[in-house]
This record gives sequence, structure tokens and C-alpha cells, in this order.
Amino acid sequence: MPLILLVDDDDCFAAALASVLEQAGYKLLRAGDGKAALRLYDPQTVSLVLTDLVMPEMEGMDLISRLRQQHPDVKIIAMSGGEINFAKTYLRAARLVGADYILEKPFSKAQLLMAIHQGLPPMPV
Amino acid sequence: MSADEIKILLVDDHPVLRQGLRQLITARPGFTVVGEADSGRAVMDLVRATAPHLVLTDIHLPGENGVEITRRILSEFPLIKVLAFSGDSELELVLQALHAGISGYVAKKNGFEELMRAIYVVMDFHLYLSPEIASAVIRDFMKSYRGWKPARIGAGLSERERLLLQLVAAGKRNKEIAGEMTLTVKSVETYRSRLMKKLRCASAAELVRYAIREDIIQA
Repeated sequence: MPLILLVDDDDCFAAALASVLEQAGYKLLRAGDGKAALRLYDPQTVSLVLTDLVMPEMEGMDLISRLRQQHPDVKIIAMSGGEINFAKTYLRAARLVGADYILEKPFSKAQLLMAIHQGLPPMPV
Repeated sequence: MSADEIKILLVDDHPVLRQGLRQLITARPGFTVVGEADSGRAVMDLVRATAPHLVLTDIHLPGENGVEITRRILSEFPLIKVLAFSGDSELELVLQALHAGISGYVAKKNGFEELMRAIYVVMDFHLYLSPEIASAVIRDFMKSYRGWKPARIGAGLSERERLLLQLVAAGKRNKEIAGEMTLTVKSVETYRSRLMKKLRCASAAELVRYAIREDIIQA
């Protein structure tokens, strides 16, 4: 069962997202900021990193660029929301620093799972 | 759905958040999610159709915001509780929501457990504000009381008690006080011990300090 590292400082949103992903069959590890995510990330066990961009301590952008440098094969999905132009610009920047996929909030379960399926090998039936 | 379940209507423009919250809320015994809306437009029809006990709404929504939605719901259904959960806890917004009649305001970043706690609190007819929001609201409220002092312990002293305190603080003995107040020494002793109890003073020295502090005598 693929393990996803979910990085978001919005605890309510992270809990909701975790519930949706667990129901879809994924296992979750959660971190509240980039620093905690770097500590938790283990390339042997984590299949994909799903990260917010605006966070305290270490922002998503910094996390993505460090992960990409240290682990070139890591699969990363960046997500962000808020003011539309801000989110789009930020997500474009996330692509440039190493995110494989981007998700603009608000998004649906289908959009989320599609992005994850693109980043992960198919789950065993 | 059983008759005593708490019926909740979710209003948020983020579908995956609604879906996750629905799963988390319905996993708790005694709660059911009766509907979801992504904007203010659909809310009133859903409220009429599903008769929720509580509407859980984001504040920033496309079209009408959570404050306007609250006003509309409560003008037609004053008994429904409206609980806001938002990433934006700006004081002005919180005050607008409170004026609109909201029952609670939860900071989204604080997590699902706090959200559930808030739901229990507002369903118990209390108001719930996340601690950091409550602090900001109380600080703002206290600004309007600048210059106001809390009631003093001795504020309720009678004229005779005040005179007794002045005489004690002036260093007069019970016999002298009895003469000045036309009382027996025994009565002075009784009044004196009652006064000490009332002012929570353990000695004559404490009575003097109290009298100076409260401007009853000059230092």
C-alpha cells in the first residue's frame, strides 16, 4: 500500500484530505511544515510527497527544492490556494523548483486521485 | 439516521475538504451530514430541504460570504446554529460574523478535533471561539473599558464602617473609637472584627495599608 507524506499546516484540511486518501487505500504520514517533512521523508518507504506551499518554519517551495536536490527521483505534488493569481504564480514556481504535479485549491477528490495516480505506480488489485 | 442525530450542513467551496469532513463527521456517533453546498446560492434551498441543526460554513466563498449566509439563515431559521470555520481570523471579519449571529468561529488550522469540540459547545447553546480568536475579541472589547476599574473589595463599605476604618487607621484605640462613635467598646470590637473579615485583612496594619491604598486616609 503506497505511503504518502502529506505536508500542510492547516490541520483541519490535512485531516479531511487524509480521510479521503485513506478511504482510497493510501497510507499517510503527516507533517505540519517543511522542516518536519524533511525529518519524516524516507525514500525507502515514502512513495509520494503531497505538499502545501505556504507554511510556517519551512515553506513548501523550499521543501520541494531540497527534496529534489537530495532525492532526484522523489515524486512531488504541490498544492496551493487563496487569491487566484497568487496561487497560480506560486504553483508555477513550484513546478520550476521541482514539483511533478500541481493542484490548485479548491480541487475535487477525482482531481486529487488523478494527480496521485500519475505520480505513483498502479495499486495492486 | 436516528431522530436524535445532530444534522449538519457543510458549506465550503473546496470539494475534497467537504468530502473529507463529511467522512470524519459521520464517523462520529450521533452526527450526520445532511447536505453540502459550495456557495451561498444553494444554501437556503438546502436548509429548507434538510432542516439541519447546524450549518458549518467557510467565511470566504464565491458570491455571498459566510457572514451574509449567516444573516439569511438566521432571519428565516433563528434556531439553527451557524458555525464558521475559516483560514481567515481577521478581527473585523470575526466581529461581523458575531454581529450576524454566528454561534462560533473556528480557525481552520487548529484541526478537526477542535472543530468537533466547537460543534458540541454550540449545540449546547454556548458560543465557541478558537482561543486566539477569543483573545483578540476580548482585547478589542476591553478597549472600550479604558479607564474603568474593577469593583473594589471595600466599595460596599457603609459610612460607619468607613469612619471606623479611618479611626483604626489613625491609630486610635477601641476605647477612643467607642467614644467618638458613641458605641460600647464591645460593639467596636465586634464591628472591627467584622470589618477585617469583610476587607480580608488579618491585622490592624493591613487595615491601615488598605485605607491608604484606597484613599480612605492620607499616608
